[in-house]
Amino acid sequence: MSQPAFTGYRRARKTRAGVRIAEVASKSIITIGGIGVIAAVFLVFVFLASVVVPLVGRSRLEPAVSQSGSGQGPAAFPAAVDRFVLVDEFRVAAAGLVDGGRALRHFRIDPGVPGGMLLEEVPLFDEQPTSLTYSDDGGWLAAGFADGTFRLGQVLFETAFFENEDVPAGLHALREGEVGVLDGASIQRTPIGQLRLQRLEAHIQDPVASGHAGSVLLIDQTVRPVGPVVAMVTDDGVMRISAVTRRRNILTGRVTATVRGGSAAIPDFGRAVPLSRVLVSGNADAVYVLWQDGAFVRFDTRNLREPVVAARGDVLRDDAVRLTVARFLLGRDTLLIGDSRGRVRTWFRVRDEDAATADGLLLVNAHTFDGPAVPGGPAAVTSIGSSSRKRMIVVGYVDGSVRGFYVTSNAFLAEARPFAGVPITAVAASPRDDAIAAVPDRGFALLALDSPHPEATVRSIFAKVWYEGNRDPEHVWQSSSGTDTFEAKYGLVPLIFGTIKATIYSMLFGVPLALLAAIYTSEFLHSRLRARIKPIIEMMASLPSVVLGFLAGLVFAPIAERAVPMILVAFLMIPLTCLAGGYLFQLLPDRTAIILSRFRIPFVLVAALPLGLLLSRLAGPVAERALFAGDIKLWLDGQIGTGAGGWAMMLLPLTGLATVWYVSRSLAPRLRTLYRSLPARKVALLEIVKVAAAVAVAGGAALLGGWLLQALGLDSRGSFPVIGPVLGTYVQRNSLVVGFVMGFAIIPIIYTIADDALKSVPEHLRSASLAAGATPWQTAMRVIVPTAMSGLFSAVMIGLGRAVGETMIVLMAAGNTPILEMNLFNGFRTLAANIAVELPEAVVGSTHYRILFLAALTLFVMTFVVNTIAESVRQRFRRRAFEL
Amino acid sequence: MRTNPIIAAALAAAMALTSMTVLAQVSVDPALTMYEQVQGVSGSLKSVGSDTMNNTMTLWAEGFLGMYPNVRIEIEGKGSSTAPPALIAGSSQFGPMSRQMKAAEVDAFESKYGYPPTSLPAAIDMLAVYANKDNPICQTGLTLQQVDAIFSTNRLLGHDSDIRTWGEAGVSDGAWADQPISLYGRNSASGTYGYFKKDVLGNGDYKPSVKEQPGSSSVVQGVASDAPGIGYSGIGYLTADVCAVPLAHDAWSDPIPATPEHAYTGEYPLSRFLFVYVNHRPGSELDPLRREFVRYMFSNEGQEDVIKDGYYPITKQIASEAMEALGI
Repeated sequence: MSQPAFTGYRRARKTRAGVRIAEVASKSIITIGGIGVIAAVFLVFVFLASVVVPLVGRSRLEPAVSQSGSGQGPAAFPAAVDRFVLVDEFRVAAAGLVDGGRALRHFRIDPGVPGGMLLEEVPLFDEQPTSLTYSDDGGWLAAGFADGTFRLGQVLFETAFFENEDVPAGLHALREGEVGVLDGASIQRTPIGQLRLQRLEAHIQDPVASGHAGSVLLIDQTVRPVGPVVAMVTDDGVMRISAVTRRRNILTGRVTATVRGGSAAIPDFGRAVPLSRVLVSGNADAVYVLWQDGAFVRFDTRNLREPVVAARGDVLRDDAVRLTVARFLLGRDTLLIGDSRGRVRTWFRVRDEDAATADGLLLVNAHTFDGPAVPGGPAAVTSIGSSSRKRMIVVGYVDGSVRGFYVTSNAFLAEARPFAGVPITAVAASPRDDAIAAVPDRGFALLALDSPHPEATVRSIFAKVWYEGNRDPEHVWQSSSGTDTFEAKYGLVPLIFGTIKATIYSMLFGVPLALLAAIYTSEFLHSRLRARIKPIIEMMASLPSVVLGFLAGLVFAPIAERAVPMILVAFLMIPLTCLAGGYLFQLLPDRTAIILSRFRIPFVLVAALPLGLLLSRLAGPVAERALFAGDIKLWLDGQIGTGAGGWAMMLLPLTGLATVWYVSRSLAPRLRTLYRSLPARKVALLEIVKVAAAVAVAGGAALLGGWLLQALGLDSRGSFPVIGPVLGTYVQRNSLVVGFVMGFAIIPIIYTIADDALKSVPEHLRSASLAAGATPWQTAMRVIVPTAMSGLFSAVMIGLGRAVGETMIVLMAAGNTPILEMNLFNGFRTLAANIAVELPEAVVGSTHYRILFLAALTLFVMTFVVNTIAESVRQRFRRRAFEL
Repeated sequence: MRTNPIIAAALAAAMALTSMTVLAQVSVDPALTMYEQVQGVSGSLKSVGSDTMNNTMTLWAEGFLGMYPNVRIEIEGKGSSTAPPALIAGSSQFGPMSRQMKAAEVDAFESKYGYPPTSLPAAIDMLAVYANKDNPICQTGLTLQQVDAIFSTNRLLGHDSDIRTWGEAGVSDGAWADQPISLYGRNSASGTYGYFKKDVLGNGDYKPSVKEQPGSSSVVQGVASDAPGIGYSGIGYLTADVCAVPLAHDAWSDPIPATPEHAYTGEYPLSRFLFVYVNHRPGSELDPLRREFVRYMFSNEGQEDVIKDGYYPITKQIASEAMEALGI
């Protein structure tokens, strides 16, 4: 408010106080609201990010309890046949194998008691086993003996709960978390005040004969839901396998057990190198016999009665290196091979067409984890433990250090060195993966492990990952299963791809229709009709998307499946009949044409559209026979026919555009001079001939092009870049259906904003253009649309935003298949639908939960980037429009 | 009375019109006694969990409300994985689940309460592999290895080659043999998904082309409307438009039809318990409301409801063991 300009008048009245207050109030409310919106969006971002950030946290491994030296506890571990150590779920007590494998020593590991406190010694066997195996996952135990028998069993902590009045008074004073002892078992106060007793129990079954009188040299077992399978190597050089299948009759409670088994001679049994392990896979379909130089024999045991040698090879491939430890990863499919050079390598079977093995499976090395370097070369691996929940391994080395690795993400997690220079003889992950127990010759250490999300790394989420059983690294999303032994696959790429695919196909369908409709209604339609049509289209937006999805998935998809050729033909036929209608209209005498022009819209609705559909229906089977070898689905699947039909379909838009361009550029000006001398009727007739000829030329050129390309040996399906992937196997729930129905969701939005944008172009521009002699079409295309471009652009962008985030339609109609194919005829899984499907199931705070939030964050970033680009482009258009 | 997610409601409405359960006659174990009403039961109950068990839970609730009109029961069925968080938070009293709780879920429960949740096997479900009723495979059957090769990328059960068309699955009929198989499955939030993955795929991966459906009935609906389709779901969703394919353990054994007698003998490869989880402090007595509801579930009427919903009833022995665990 500087110098007021003198106008000759003074303002007669001052602004009333009420108005001023209202002005200030509304201004501040709007400001606060605006800032609030920005803050809210920012907070959403911060919230999403705060859930995601812990994913990238580093793992830590710190000593919790460390005891070494003498004492009555674990320090007195004598040499065992096959050592192992186990920790209970609550990290209160641990147990280890002692006395040559004949007993288990159970001791407390709370830090208050120096040297650990012996709780109990649990006897296992009367005589010393010649071989013994223990599985971290389930506590299964199997032991072979010198007399050719074997015994199976299970070792576990059994839990019981007591109230204060049930236990001796000495335990009443225990506070929450504190541990006491009650006849040889640990007892701990729980958060709600009860007492939890944990007793180590060993259930050992009666001896079973192996079928050979000599010693059982090596033994391993897997426990399937129907019963255990045991694989053994006996001293006569034979691999024996026997499976017990138990079925329980639910009505009678009777258990029927059947025993099946077989044996096979081990080739080269008498080698100079000592044997290392026998290992039987989780499904009992493979048995490995390994030697200490890395040589192995793999038996195919799918038919348990007749095991056959499937393959022989070497897992070390270096004569100077010795195999020190061999065991399975969780799930018993991936071999973990530790060697004298400190490496742990994973090997698993993959299918390979060229495999020279008997069953077409090849053993491949997917990961290699290095050990610590010490003076004089790397420290040898002495023990490997596998988590019973995750694909995490813990490795003990000869120099007394312990490392944790995560197999799927190929990640080194953490390292600790509880016993400098003393070889670790047994190492195990605690049941909850929150600690690592390590046992050297004398002593015991419990290391607290903080590694909440080892499976998530930037690489494992966004890059290809080599999963168990796959030939090559791949992008896979497969996040959950009924058990923990399964390998979670958190590749977000298929979901991001699905989101983009959904957006592209629905925009392809929706944008042209919506924009053309807007141009038509705002520029060509009588304003009274427009006033009616616009609300009707806007009504479409009020259809809940779940209803659209429901209709799409359960009603439209089955119908579309039966009429694929018809739908494809209709894309061409309906515009053609409308075009034909327009040209036929010109044939009418002027007077009639003017009178009838009011009924153009009803004419399209009543005549052209149904006619187009009818013609498509008739032409559909013809096209299917001509282009797609009589069955479009088999054609799409690549089983029959040639690529010519697909090429023709793909080329048609190109030849169509080329024809239009040629006609309007070089033919039309010449015709125009000709038309001047002709009566209107003849002109109309000639025009029809021109259009028909153009259609024929475009179609013919497409067919010719298709035939030529096919003759060159190029198939439009399958491997051909860009175009090939679009035509693929037909699946009922597909992108075509979703694109169609999602069009319904985005057309009203795009239409209504575009229509408003066109209508807001100043009337004087329109009048000036028309007055200068331009036709309504020229006015619309060259004056109105360029002026309204910023509005049209934002209409498209808002439609895009809706398509990216649309959930219910894709959830119900797209099949939710996380695939990486651009195929128009199969489905996809979008980020939004995936979040809707999986978030209710995800354990709060788990890796899966956080990765779903990462998916949300990705979606947020995607829309943010798109909208920012859109807005800056729109601003540019607007500046240009203002220059008018 | 029930709060359902909108999808399940929409699907249930559509399916109610088209589905007719065609199950062989099953009867409740006569040793299970009729429910006897007691005094002083009132209050409100909430159940959050499996979508597979949603109808069973509703039937139990209806029967229970018939006896105790001043009880309020609310049932949510969005998937088995929704049960543990609700039980832990104390926002539900019952957690129906079509699978057993995973270790991480039990951990989360234990870290709050110190004891694990109690699982009650409340019904028996047979998982069926469905095909369109006109498909010749309905007569010939499939082996588990073939089913694995149809649904899985890894074929961990050991079938030699991938199965993409019905011809590769052993259908010789010319009209079917060339048809590519169209796969339907449950969404990953469901216990059915996990069970099938564990027991049929041997923990292998589903093919990415398996169309994940939000509910069991939409799997059956998909197979009914899509001739070369195949899908898996609980036997309770069998309709006249689809068949439950007979399954064999392996190529050396006979295909076994999905009928109750084979489920009870344990011959049919895919039968499982359906569970209801309860938060029960060991050694304490259950409050009257939950106690009576559990007694109703394990009564003759309760197990009749199980049959009505297309599952198989449990036996007296299982019921007694379950009630013993709760101190009833």
